[in-house]
Amino acid sequence: MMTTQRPVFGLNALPAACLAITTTMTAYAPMVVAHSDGAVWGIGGLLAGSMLTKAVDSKHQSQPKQSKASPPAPAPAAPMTAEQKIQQLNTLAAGGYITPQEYKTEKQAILNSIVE
Amino acid sequence: MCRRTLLMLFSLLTLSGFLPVANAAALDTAYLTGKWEINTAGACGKADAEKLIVHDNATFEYGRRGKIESVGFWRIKQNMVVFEMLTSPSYFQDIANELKDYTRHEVYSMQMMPLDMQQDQFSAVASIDDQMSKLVLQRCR
Repeated sequence: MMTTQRPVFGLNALPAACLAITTTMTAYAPMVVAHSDGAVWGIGGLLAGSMLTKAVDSKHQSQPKQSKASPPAPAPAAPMTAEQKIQQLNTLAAGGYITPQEYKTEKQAILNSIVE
Repeated sequence: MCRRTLLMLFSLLTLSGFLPVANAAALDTAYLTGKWEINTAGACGKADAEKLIVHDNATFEYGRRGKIESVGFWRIKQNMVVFEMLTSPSYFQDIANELKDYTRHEVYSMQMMPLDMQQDQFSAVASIDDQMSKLVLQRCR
């Protein structure tokens, strides 16, 4: 006759449970509770722990930040071709940034530079 | 068997204070008002004890070794007591020497949840920011 084996969570599991509870409680223990003379401060320990955390945080915030490496200087721009210059001129003229007379003069100067 | 184990576990947790038991006193102003000494194992009158003096006008004083180190206001919020405390970190340099240079006064908020409230004693879980601790408060005359 077969008997089914079912899991038993009886007293054998208690040590593990107690260990888990103790570990959890220890994780929430205040940062500083004991005085050098052995006295344990309840509210004082809580306050000191909280103050210490704040003090450390403010110290970190007040420290000068590491200067970041300056970004590499942009490579010098390649000289614009006559075509690019005229396109730029067209854009300026279309936007009304230069007068028709200025457009005409500048365009002529660009064309002259090609011939030279 | 399972029932007996559960009963045993419940008793163990209750005795160790992890589960609330029926309180013998109600959390109100009349109960909280008075002089309390903290973590003194039931003894009163130790000169170097931590003392919490709760007044019925919503103010309180907290001190150690006979010296007041914090004053403020308290209020009951549901099943907790909230203490708004004015104090200076430099008062606690004996606990953490790093605090000696922090001389200005600051406000801290402590939440305290009383458990197992007896006539003249209760235990409590108290927290300030990310710090948490279990306390036992004894009423002293």
